[in-house]
Amino acid sequence: MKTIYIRKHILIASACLMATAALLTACGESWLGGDPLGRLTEDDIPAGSLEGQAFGIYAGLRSEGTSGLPYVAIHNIRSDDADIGGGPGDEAAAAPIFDHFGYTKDYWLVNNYWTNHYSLIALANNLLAAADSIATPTDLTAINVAEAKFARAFAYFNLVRTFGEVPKIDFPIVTQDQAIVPKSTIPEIYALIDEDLQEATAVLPLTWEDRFTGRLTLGAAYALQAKTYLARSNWSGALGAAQAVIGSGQYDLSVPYDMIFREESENSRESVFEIQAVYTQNNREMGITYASRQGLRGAGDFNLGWGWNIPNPVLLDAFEEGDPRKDVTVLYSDSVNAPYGERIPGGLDRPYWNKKVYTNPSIRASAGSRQGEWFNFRVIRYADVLLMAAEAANEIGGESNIDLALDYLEQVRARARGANSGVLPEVTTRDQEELRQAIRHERQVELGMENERFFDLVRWGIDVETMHAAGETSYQQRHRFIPIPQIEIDRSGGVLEQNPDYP
Amino acid sequence: MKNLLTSCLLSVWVWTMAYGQQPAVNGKVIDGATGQGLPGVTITVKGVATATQTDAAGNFTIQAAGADTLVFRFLGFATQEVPINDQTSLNVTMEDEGTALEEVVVIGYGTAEKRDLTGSIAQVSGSEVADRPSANPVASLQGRVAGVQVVNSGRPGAQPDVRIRGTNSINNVRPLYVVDGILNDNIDFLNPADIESMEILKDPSSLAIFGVRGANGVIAITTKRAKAGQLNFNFNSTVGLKHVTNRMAMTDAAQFRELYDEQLANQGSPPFNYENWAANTDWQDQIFRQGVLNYNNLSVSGASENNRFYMGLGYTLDQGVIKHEQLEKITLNINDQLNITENFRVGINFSGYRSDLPTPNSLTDAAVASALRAAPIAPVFNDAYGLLHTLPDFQRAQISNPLTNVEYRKNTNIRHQYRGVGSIFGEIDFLQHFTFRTSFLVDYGFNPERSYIPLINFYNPDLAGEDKTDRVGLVTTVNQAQSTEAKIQSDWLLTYKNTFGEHSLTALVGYTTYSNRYEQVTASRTQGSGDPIPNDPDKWYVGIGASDSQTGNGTAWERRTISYLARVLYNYGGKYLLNASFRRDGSSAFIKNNPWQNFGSIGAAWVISEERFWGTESFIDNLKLKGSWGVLGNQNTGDDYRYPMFPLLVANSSAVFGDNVFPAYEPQYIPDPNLQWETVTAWEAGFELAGFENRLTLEGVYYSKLTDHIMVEVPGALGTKPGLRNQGSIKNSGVELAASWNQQLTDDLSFTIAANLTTLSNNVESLVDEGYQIIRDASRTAVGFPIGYFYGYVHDGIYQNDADITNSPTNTINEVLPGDIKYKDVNGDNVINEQDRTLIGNPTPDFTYGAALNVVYRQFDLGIELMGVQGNDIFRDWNRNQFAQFNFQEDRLGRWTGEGTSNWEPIGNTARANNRLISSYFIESGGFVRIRNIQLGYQFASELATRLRLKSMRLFVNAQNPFTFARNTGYTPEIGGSAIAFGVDNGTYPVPAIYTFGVNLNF
Repeated sequence: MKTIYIRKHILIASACLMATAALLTACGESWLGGDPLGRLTEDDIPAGSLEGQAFGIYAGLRSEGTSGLPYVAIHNIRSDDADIGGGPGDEAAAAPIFDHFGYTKDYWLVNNYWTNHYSLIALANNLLAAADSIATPTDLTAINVAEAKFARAFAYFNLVRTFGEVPKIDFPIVTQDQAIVPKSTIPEIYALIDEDLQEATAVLPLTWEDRFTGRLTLGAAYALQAKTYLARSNWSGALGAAQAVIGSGQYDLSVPYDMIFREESENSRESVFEIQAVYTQNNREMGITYASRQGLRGAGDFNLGWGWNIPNPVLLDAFEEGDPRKDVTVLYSDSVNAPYGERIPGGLDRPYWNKKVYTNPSIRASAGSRQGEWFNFRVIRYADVLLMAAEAANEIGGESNIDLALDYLEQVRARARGANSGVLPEVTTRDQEELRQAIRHERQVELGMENERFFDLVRWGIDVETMHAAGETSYQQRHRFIPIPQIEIDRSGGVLEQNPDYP
Repeated sequence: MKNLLTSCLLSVWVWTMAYGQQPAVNGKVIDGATGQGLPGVTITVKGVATATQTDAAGNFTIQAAGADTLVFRFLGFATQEVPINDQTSLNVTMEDEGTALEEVVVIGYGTAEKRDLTGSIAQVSGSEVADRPSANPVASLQGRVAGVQVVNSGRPGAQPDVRIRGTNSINNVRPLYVVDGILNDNIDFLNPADIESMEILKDPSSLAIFGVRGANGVIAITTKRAKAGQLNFNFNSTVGLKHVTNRMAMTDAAQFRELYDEQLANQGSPPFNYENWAANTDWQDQIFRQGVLNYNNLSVSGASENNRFYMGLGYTLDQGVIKHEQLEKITLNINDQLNITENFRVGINFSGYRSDLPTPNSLTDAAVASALRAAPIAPVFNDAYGLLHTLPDFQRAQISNPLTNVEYRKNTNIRHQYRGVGSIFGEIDFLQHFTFRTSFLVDYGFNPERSYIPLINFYNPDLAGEDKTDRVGLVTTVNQAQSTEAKIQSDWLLTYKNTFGEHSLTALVGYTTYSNRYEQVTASRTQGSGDPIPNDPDKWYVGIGASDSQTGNGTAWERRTISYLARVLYNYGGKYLLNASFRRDGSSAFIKNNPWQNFGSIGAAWVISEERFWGTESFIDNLKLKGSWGVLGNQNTGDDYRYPMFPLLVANSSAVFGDNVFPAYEPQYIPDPNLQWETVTAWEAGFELAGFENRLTLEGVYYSKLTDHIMVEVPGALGTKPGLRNQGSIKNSGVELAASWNQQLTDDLSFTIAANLTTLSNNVESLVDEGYQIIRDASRTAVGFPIGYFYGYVHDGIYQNDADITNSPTNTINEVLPGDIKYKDVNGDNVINEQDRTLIGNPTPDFTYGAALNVVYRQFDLGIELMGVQGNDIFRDWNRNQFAQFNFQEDRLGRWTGEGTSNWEPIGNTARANNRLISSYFIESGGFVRIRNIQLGYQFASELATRLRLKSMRLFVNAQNPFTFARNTGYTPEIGGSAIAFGVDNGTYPVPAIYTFGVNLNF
């Protein structure tokens, strides 16, 4: 009896099991399906919108290689008027490379510079490829395209000045082999830069609504274009581009010189191209390292950074007697410094520090950091544009151009002079060579520690003599270019060839 | 609580006890092993529905005719059929299945007799891992099984790096774990004391049934079931101490000053002022301690003919060798199988686990690394301020006081894991030869974590002003994270088993589904502009802190597979064996392409010793020649590629304009529309031999595995995103040998000696395109070389003087001076440049070996295990990339200081970039021999145990890793890593020696 009952139950149970099995099996392949959980894919982007990708480019500008120590080391520490700084260990390791030009083929700063710049190029290329597939572009998509082209031009301009011949990647890389390409010539790279900036200057808006403060504008594109022309001594091109910025009405020198490098003057009328950063206790991801890598290297409350890139006596001596810009450029150890009245302790590794990254103590307190991650990086400011225009005008020559050059130069000196009429007398010479020297001098002191000096020396062709005069006698013309990181050559399987100056 | 459990248990047991009947034939059933009566044995009359069971003393009576045959059945024992032959009284002795039958091993989706298989499966019994002081049972496999390379970590509870027959893939090398049929990627939840046996499946014919998950090999674990007989309680307890035996040899304060002063002078730097830095601190002493170990396990089991019940409870306390580091874990395991009828069985199995995880690796790693790096001249603590002392300014940028993480951040991470792994099954036999089994398995894990970042202040004598408090950590933060992971598996298996004359056949078809889903949410708050969040664990919830500082995040992923499987095990007369299996897998990973792929294997064996011509006189009892071939798969796409076919976007980058943040999306990687599984084509050939009345066993196998379509994360060159591609193949091959000899020398003395040897050869056959390399610092993966080999310059001495430099090939990489490393001109072009880099080391050993000796003398037993690794290299990396000055290794005392002083250690001068290049200067030999384990036990005489009302009692002392003979400078030669970068010593956590004492009681 019992057994029979059990048998019956088993039959029922088995039938149920079989039925369930059949059901489950029937689900089949659709059971495997399903979209990624909690993730957006490219298919989820609103059709025709490139805005998200354009924002990604701005994020790319915040990378270490484009706004941190690699940038500073390559653009400024190499110059005659700045040194490595940092601690004694840093100096021992990096000074032979960036101060004394014993370049190596594998140093993290240079590797990083290369990688981050090509990342920026890749972000731009991806956006441009996506733009090609949009059937009906809007005004905004056209602007996004222009932003990408600006970023690509900015990256290539840095690369071509730093490494010389580099691979030209102007397409999205989908498979590994596409990235293995030989170098292009310097003129080929400049051709791409010109083409990109042509479009950027045609499309970028003059200004943005408030919520997009600091976003790329027409002024930024023209200013970068002027710089790229100047690098090739294309004086008329440079003058035209610089004057487009000057004539835009968006910029002036109303910010006093000692206010430019304060947090409150970020995105001011002075600012033409500024890499944007935000850092608070609850948002620690959107900062940049520009200030922290250069900040004063002290202990306790004065541990403001790594203390790399410090002014040296060449820069201090370059300032004219009484030039107020000197004390805005140089932060002195063992003394009380304006504007915050902090007493910088003595006994530090270095007597001078870069003051153009000196942060506001009250922001340090509220952000819970001393490292200045919130501090925007002023890449191109209006005074630079004026001096570029002055230089180009002087080089073209002719009375009216000399008038222009003198006027632009005086604008910059007048602002620096401020209310103190006893210093920085107006330059009045109409001799081209004298004016050239005056403008070159003005660039050095106005833009001291601002990453312009090394490439200025190179394009003026006075790099070798200036370095030797500053005691860096190992500098030779080949040191204009840094060897390509060995790891990139290894990755390419040898398709990418080293600069022949570095066998 | 305990009472409640016991009464539950008893009621289950009582419920399963038996019925009664009328007399006719009577007798007694005796347990062959103990000579005692066996209760609960079911006796049926063959062909009639009459049945009974033996009573508590093993006696039975049953109504049956004199011509009938009685069938005696009892779980765990061999079933016997005894004709009555008109007797009225019958005594039957039943033998344990284990001794009566051939060795039964777990194969995928079933079990089989080892003699019927053509593959290579190694078995390790649970008792061999249970009393070892490893919270993770896999750690105890080290050196025991040929073909299994285990690299242990000294961290409490850490999963070892296990590689079965080499490194088969770039993304994942971990084997698959199968616990009582549940597929899993880790067995953290398992108590070693609950393990009955572990089987390691190595060859294609055993693995193909696991299809896409079988490529890296399988470790199948069977947990304990109740054994036949009466109620059994087992209690065992182990206590012990852990100790770091091999400290790293670092300079003390005087030696440090000597080297540092000299270095500063060589660099032309100003001398360091030691005024505030006059201590002589051994930082390793400061962070290490003797860790305590304590395992306690209690199990209860009971079985009757219709029911088998087992319950185990375990508690583990495992302290790390770093102060305040401790793992606590509670496990419980319940299983029950009920025979509803003779033909229909159901069962449940449940493992529960709760752990309190130790200090996160990130903190302990940093503590170990900084203890090696911190200067011995720094004091530890300042009493007046009650603060840790800061390190000298030449160190602060890169390292801080090693006790920062150990003391200031002690117990600031409260991390728990809860896990329930449960399954039910139903199994029915029908039509004589068929068995249908279905099971549902769920593994649900819940992991709540909370952490706190305190304010961090140091005493800093360098500060200007009165107050020497150096405020380094300015903001308190609380973080909370909760994650769940659910793995759900269903199996539907139909087995057919029959014998036709000499032909014997077992066939299986099945269907199985698997899904794995993970979800996590995290949140954090800081103090904002308010007061610091208190350093009190009760406050560490994200409800505390400034609400405007709150951030949150979350992730999720799911992976599913559907599989059809089939297998045939055939033999003819026990002489000719054929195994074949097939599996068709569909995976959600490849859903956009073709998600389906077929895998399979075929194996054959010839048991020569069964042949008629094989004389019975031979000293060889068993000789089997075997071979198998198969294709296995791998869908391990790595953590970053949960959805490799989808063009995922990441939002972790954002645009900033002014103070406004705008989310930006960029592709996470470049998806490959043609991505597919990795396939491993493997074969093996070998033999199994037993001889001298089974005293000798010998197994030897040659194996070869070719992994094709390797999923390589091709890094984005020139700034592009990386992407996963099937581009490459790796070959692993080698020989495995295992031998053992056991002998009963006298009645009192017996011994077993066993040894194994595995050779490994690993070669990358193809990778992306010609000349392509995957580069992770010193580790490279390239065609024609072993995976993850070390690539760099060859140290060829030290330049002794200027003439030496002039007379040597010109170094064009760096300017060199006397005292710098001279690199070898490998290509002989008289110039030292990038072309002279070459293979300077291989992290894969040439061979690994193990040996064990067990001696039993009366009540004493002694076991000694030894293991070793030979022919691999270690790359010393922990002090290579220093931008702050680290403490020196003692070897640096022998640096070059002038002509003829050293031809290996370069001059002390960090300005010499030449000496930092990746070269054989950083290569160390990774080979070692280790006394892995020594155990001495004493089994109390049964009379004594009985007097104590115990069935048995054993005491033991155990020493694990007491002696290691290694030549590297790090804590341990055992350095794991990822598939493409391993053997790199970044200041690896030490593997301690562990001394334990334990007791094991049965009652």
